[in-house]
Amino acid sequence: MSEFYHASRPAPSRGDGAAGAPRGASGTRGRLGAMARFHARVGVRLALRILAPSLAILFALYFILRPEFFVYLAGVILGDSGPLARGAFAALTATVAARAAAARVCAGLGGWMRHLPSSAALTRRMAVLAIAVAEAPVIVILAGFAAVSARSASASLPADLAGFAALAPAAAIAAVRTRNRAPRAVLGFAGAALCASGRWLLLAAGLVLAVAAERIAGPVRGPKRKNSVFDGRHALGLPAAIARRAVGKAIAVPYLIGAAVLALAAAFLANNPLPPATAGAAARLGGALALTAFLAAASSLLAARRPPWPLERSWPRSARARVATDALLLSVPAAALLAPLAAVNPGAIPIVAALLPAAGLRAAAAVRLDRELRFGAWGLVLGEGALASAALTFTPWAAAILLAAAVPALELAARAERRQKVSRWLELHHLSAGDPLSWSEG
Amino acid sequence: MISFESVAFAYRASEPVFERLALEIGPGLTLVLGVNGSGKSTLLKLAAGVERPDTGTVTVGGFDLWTDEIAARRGLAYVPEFPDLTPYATIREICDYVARLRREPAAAGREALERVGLGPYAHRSVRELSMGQKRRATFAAAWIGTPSHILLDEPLEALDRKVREAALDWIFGLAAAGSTVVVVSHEIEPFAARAERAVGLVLGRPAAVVPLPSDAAARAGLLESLARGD
Repeated sequence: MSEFYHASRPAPSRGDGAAGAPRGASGTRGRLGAMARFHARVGVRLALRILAPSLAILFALYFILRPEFFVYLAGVILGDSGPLARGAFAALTATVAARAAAARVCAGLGGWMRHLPSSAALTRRMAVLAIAVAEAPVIVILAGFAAVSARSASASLPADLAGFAALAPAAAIAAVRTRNRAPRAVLGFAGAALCASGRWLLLAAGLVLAVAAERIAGPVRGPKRKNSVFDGRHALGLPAAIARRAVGKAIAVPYLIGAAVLALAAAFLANNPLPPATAGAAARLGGALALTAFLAAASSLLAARRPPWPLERSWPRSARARVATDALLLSVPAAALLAPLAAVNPGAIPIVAALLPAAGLRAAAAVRLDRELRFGAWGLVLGEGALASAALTFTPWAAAILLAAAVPALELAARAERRQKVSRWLELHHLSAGDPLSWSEG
Repeated sequence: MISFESVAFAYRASEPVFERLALEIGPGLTLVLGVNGSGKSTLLKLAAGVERPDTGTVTVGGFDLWTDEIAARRGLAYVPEFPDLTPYATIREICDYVARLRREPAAAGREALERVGLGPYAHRSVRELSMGQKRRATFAAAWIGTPSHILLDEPLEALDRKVREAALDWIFGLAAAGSTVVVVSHEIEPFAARAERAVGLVLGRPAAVVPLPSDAAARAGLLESLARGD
């Protein structure tokens, strides 16, 4: 069942006025200003979360691929293509960013916020403001691309920059969660694409479509409240089922990362004639790094989606049992990555597999240490796993040491489990999935 | 018996909640009182094995909570202030799991849910329950088996009258049978007549651990002053 905010609230007679609101133009302006500042700050906080990784990726690519590549890329996507194609590309990029922000912004407009004096239209416009601010980093990057791209004769830089300024609210309208979803999304996206086309006439048409989309959008809609339908499978007990349900389909991400590492190793081996010993070492490195990458991503996912459950710690189950279950849950799915390794170098499988018990237990410990570590669970697993992978690459007999290391790894993981401060308040930056206080919310 | 020996605990190193806390809580009903932020709920979390002391030991029934983890927790029932049940399991699954951990028959979990009136909602997760129902679900988990050490943090909050009466009967029954029952509550009146002792906490220090006088007026006055942190 969906929640519709302000759906049954009668429309105010003038502007955004509501019963009990301050009367007079100055009161209304003050209230509007306060709301706009509040939602703009929400957008800025979200923008910083988008900005940091976007800039990090951009700088990394810049130093790897050099400026010439960016000029070429900008020319391909924004300069050489037709106005509608470049507009569609820019609109798609901005809408994807806007959708990520919209999920958080609209969820924050539920509950207590609903009793504040605001109309449905004003709430929607404030949500659009927050989303538009949140996607600003992406828009700035796109505008930068437009500035360096080879310009076609009929496009102008001022039209481009004006278009990108209009793209932010248009994409926000396309992404905001409202009742009249389909017409609002279609008109909003079309408006965003026309705004980013780089032509004045199309920009004007885009603005008209965006305004029309905003007018027909309807009230903001909260997240869908799903009934919990569980499969009832407890092959490894309820704790394992809880972890499996918490991670859900997102387990595909660690698999994709692990498979990408394996694919790189396979491509390296296929394109470089190497002596058997070197090829074996490269296969071991690729396999071990693939398992490490899987465990790093999966442990990070588990730490975020299944936070510590304080009440469970009062029940008669040992810390060792809790971490051993998690280690099993992390390392058994990781073992599936050994199957493709057979096609690359079957001899590497037993050596690489020896990494799993200790690495799985370290990943289980990392889940417990996630919030204390600067780089989270993935940083710990990736760092230690890279060292272990290097050891397996150069000295295959290190497999025996790694197998034996499972014993102290179990003790270390159990220690990490015991010394967690599970009821300490921590800021989670909108990651409500990992916040036990948000468990009972939609 | 629940014992705290030289217990130190801090959520953040710079803000200790307890420093060298020494406290013994024997059988019967004990009220833990104090103003907000005095460490009442943290005391219960330490006794329940939810939080581990930074230094010192906590023993329950003679077993160390962190070296004899299972033995210490087998007779322990804890009802937290916030009903933090995982949303990734139905309340029936959770109660069945607790029954198995406490070595009780599988039916014990279902019976506990029936007892708190959640039988028809057993297939739901905590997300689909009201606050009062969530509180009842945590009570159901506590009611499984015959616990010897019961820790209750604001136990009557959000309960309807029927479940509230059942909860009070359960608490008083266990206390009379010799179990160690520790209650943290700002609502003193329902427990005042049956409590055997009270612990008053002021900024993480037990300002008073006192047997309660039999005279009703004196008892009420003492509890009131401890609750106000006087």
